[in-house]
Amino acid sequence: MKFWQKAFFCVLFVFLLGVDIMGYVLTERSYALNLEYALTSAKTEQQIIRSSVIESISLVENNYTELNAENLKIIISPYAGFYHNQGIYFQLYQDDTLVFNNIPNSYSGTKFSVSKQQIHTEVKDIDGTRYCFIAGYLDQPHDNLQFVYIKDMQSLTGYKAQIIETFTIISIVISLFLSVIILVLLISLTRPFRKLNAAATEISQGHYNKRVDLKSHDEIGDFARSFNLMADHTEKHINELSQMTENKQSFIDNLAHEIRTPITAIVGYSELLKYANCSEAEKETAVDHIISQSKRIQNMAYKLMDLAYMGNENIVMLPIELESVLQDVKAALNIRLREKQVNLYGELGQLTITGDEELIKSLFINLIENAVKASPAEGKVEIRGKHEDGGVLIEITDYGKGMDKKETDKVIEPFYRVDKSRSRSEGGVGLGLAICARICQIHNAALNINSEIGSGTTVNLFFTTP
Amino acid sequence: MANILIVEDEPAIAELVAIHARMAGHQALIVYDGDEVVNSIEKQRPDLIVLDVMLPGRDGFSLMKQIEPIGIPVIFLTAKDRLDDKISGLKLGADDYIVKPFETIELITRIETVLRRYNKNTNIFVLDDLQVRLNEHVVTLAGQEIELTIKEFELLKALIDNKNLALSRDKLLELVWGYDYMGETRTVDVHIQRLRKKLHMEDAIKTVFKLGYRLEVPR
Repeated sequence: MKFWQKAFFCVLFVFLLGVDIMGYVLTERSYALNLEYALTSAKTEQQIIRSSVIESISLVENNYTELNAENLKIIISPYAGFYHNQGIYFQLYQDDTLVFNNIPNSYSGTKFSVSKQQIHTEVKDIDGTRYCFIAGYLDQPHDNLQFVYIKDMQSLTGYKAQIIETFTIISIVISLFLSVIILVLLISLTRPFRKLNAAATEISQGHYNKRVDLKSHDEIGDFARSFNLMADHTEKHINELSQMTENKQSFIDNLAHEIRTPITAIVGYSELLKYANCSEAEKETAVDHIISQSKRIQNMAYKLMDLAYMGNENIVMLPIELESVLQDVKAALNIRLREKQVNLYGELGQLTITGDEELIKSLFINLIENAVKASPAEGKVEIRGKHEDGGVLIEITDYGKGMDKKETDKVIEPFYRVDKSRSRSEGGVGLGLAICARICQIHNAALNINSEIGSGTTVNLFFTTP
Repeated sequence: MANILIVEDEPAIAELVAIHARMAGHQALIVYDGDEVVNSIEKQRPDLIVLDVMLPGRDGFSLMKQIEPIGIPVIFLTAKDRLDDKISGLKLGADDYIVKPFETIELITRIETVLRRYNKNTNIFVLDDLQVRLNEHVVTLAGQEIELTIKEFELLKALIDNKNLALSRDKLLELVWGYDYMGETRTVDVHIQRLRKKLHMEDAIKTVFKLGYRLEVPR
């Protein structure tokens, strides 16, 4: 059962219960008041009639007429005839004998046991009709006569039934009316829930960009906002995860591809040595290739391990003098620079950053090596550094080949190489910039590459923790 | 003897293919850059091109479009092992597509097959007094025709195709008798003995210890 259905039946039930209890109480109270009023007026009437009857009897007695059953009947008959139309009947007992009775049905009745001077009131149903009996003895000297006044109260019962009927009709009409209003209200009040449910269902089916559009400022509005916030986070994480999976997959694809060439060469030359009758020169070529290709795989394995384990080891973040790092890097790259006759200009003065010295050295070596590789023979590479926005900005610029925008985006991906054959012949495995990016990540540094084909490349490093 | 142009930017792989091609008695020339290929074709007029796909300069697929109208057979040799790469390579008109890592015997066999299809391979194999006309299945020794059974001839052909390379008994069984042959490697030994005796090839067909047999031809 849906919530709005439950709420509908609950409200309707409570309402009907309330209305019916109120109706019952009102009916009963109204009936009781009416009954009381009727009894009071009946008593008054009984008093009046009784007085008249006593008078009549006194009058007859003064005429010395015997007060027998016959005479009593004659005395009371006019009253009975007069009141009959008003639904008022009489009984008269002389001693224990019923001398007069005009109730319109077969009821004969019995004498009421009531003490002299007292009035007895009783309500009785006879053959489906309600009567009120008021009985009492007459005053002395006629206290052997019991006068019973009987009033038809059926109209009062009818009145009650009518009230109940009216009430039932009213409650049914109001219930119907109310049902419609409650339904409309409930459906419009629960609409946000259905919206939320629809959104949740859609998200569960993988449409993580689905959001709920609810502007209300009540609890449901709050809920919708929290829901959207949750969906935002979920979407973000899912996207990150799928991006990560994609990167991993392309990394593995690239690795498999990269490893194919050296393996093919090693297997091929080994088989050549084993199966062919090679000349000594061929044997030497084969062994040379096996060694160099094995070294390439080894180099790749080391770099991959660097990439994988970097950051897991204990990194000591200490203040580093960049100038001394640069001097070490220059010394390490000296042979390389001389081979290609590339000049490295620039100094980093008093600049310091906080970081791991070995990693920062490796970062500089990789970036400067790339710059040298891109430069033409006898070219130059420049390094500049300065304080900026509370951090340290370092620029490494070459005036070499450069690359287009598409390539600058891809170049930090593992195994991506701008110039495939040259990079390989110079011993690269395509992991240098990926390692640089990882080092920057560890140091909370930003790495940006600006490049233009033909005019060169500038790599910006921005360290926020000087 | 055919003239084979090897286009491959990895020197290790290029030289490996070249050594095998020379061993099979062909001439091999290596080009490392895609931009030099067209030039080299014009100069060398090769009978077959072994072409890498990912090259510095022009890539293999775009080169293929230019080579196809000339009618020189091409075998792609690449690390791109995805099926759609393979299909697009063959659709461009390549005669074969070999994925790295490859077995050298496989490469040589495929080169020989393509050359034979284009009738660019020498039909006649000569070693001292022996002359084998491969297409006609005729073997003569000092002018005398020698009768060989079909299997003996096939075995001789396998050895000639892979001359200077040792072939294991299992490999020979596979090449001559087929994958599903249930016989023993002894069968190979028996046939080799018969070939040696009939063709006086006791010296030419060498037994390589622990490996198998090798047809040695002066290079």
